[in-house]
Amino acid sequence: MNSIRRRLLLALLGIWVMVWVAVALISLDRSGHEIAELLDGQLAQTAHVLHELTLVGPLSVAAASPQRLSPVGHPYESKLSFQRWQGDRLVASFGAAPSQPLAPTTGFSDQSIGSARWRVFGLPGALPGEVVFVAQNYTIRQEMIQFLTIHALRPILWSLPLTVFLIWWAVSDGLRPLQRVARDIGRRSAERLEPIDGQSVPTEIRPLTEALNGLMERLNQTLAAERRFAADASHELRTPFTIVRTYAQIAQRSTAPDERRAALEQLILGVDRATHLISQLLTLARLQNDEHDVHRVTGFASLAKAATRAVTGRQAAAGARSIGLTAVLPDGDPCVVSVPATVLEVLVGNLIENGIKYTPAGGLVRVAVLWQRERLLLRVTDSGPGIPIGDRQRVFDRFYRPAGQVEPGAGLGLAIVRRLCDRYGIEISLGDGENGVGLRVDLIFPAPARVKPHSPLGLRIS
Amino acid sequence: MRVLIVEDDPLLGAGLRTGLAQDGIVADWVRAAEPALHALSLEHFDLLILDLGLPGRDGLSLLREIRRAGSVLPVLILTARDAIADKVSGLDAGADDYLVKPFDLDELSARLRALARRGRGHPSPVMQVGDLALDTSQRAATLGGRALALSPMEYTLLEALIANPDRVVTRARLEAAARGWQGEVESNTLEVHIHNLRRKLGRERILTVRGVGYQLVCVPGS
Repeated sequence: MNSIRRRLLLALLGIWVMVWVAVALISLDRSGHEIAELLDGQLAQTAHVLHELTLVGPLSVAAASPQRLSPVGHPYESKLSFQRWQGDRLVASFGAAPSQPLAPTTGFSDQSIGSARWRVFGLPGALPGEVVFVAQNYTIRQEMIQFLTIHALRPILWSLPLTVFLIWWAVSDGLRPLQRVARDIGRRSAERLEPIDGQSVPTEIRPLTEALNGLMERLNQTLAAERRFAADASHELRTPFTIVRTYAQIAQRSTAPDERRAALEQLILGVDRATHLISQLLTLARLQNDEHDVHRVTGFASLAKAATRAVTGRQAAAGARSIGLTAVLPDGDPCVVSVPATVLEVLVGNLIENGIKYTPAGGLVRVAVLWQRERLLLRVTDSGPGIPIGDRQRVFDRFYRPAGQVEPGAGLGLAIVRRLCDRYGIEISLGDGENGVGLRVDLIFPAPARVKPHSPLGLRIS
Repeated sequence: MRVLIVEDDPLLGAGLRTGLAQDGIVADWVRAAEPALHALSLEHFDLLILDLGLPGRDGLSLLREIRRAGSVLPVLILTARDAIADKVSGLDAGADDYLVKPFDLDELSARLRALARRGRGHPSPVMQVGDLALDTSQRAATLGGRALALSPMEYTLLEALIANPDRVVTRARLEAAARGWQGEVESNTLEVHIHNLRRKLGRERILTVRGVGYQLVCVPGS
């Protein structure tokens, strides 16, 4: 489990145990030294005392075995041996002293006698050849060190559970602001996207809350756009459905066959309007949802081909309104742009439909593809009323319809064109049509990335 | 009853006209605020049906201007805007009724009739002058309890006359009411229809005020 609390708990406990063990080891080492010094001192003192005592005469048997002398004593006493040599002669001894000298030299030394290790102190006497040896079994020192070790470590072991609990509590307390933020976020619904209060959170998680606040701001905007879109869409759909309902009712109430037939024809027109509007709304909704989509459709397509197809497909509609629809394309040049074919079709189609819609009977809608300073340009010109300069920016707004517009429409065509252009880096410019009559829409496509394997200097362009 | 429709959608505007005509309501139709003001300044209308979402000048601004000019014309807002706030601001701007699209033609006609009655200061659907009664909800007239067979044009003229009892209704106004049925009314057409009405009602009930118009009078004792 990836838990900050557990990681902190284990890390702090590990550090705590390591520090304590290190402290214990160092202090034991120091204590060991001090014990050794202390016992060495005692050994030397004992040697001096015994040397003085044995000058008087050999020790009695009783004195040689202190335990037997008196029940009052110390368990460590028996771990002591003594020898007094006069030349090669053992003058006096007690304890577990062997018949040989306890050590080959005077001074302090460590000796193995039998299976045991001894600490020996040899004291040269006043007479020549006189040596006094006092030895102490090492088990005393080991026992003392063991005793000290256990007593040093025991409180640490005892306090371990308490320490675990305290660290756990401290870590939990430290993580509490995080939990509070998590609860705060958890309580939020999709409707409640106000930012998290950044002042009350610790500095460590402030980057997180700031990032979340940024995300919520974006979500808010997206949601607001969605709501606006849904409201606009339902509003716009009311008109075609009202038309359908009105004509259905007229047909229902009518007794005259002619009137009924006419009403049904209008009703079908209303259904067509609704269908067209819905398909445009869906296109727009799809574009809106993909706004931040990095996986947007990419591709290359021939602008010339798309223009030809769009013009051919709309000849009938133009003809029905006695409008001429022509296309001028560069000879033999497919005019490839970095926009997928489906998108090109929507772009060119919408512009042509717009032109046909606003051009009076007998007018002309021209489509042209041309090169302009290394960039491809799609130009759609009509001979309609044009758009006043003041309205030219607003015509790209969704559902915007300029004053005096008499053609039915929801005002979505140019909004779709604008969104598509934004997404594919196409520039739009509006102007007057030919001889100042009508509207000219220019779509300027981004310069195609030229594939140049080598630069003139022979260096690779990365 | 003559109605002015302000509706920018051509298909819906035409449908409204046809549907109202089925209910005997004569409607003129314009597609923007400016032509509406023009029509209102030139002719008499009993009612205004107003769409709010007009291209260019908004319906609400048109309504405010009409009210500022002191017009008491009953106004019904017919719009796709269904928010409470829109209804409130529409009614507060001076509308008398508010109907959201899509609507029912029968309901629209009934509301228009109700507004027209209120506009005349006569809320009952039955208007009466002496023993002559006109039931606007049925579009039927009775004389002394007997049903009268009237053409739509005759009914319209009688309605205009009976709505203003004992007052002279101008020729212009009667012609305007009739125009919805026949397009341009020729100068003697009105006389023809008045003649027919007199034949069905009795000569003495409709007075001719020379150079001004006609007046429906109560004939006592008949």
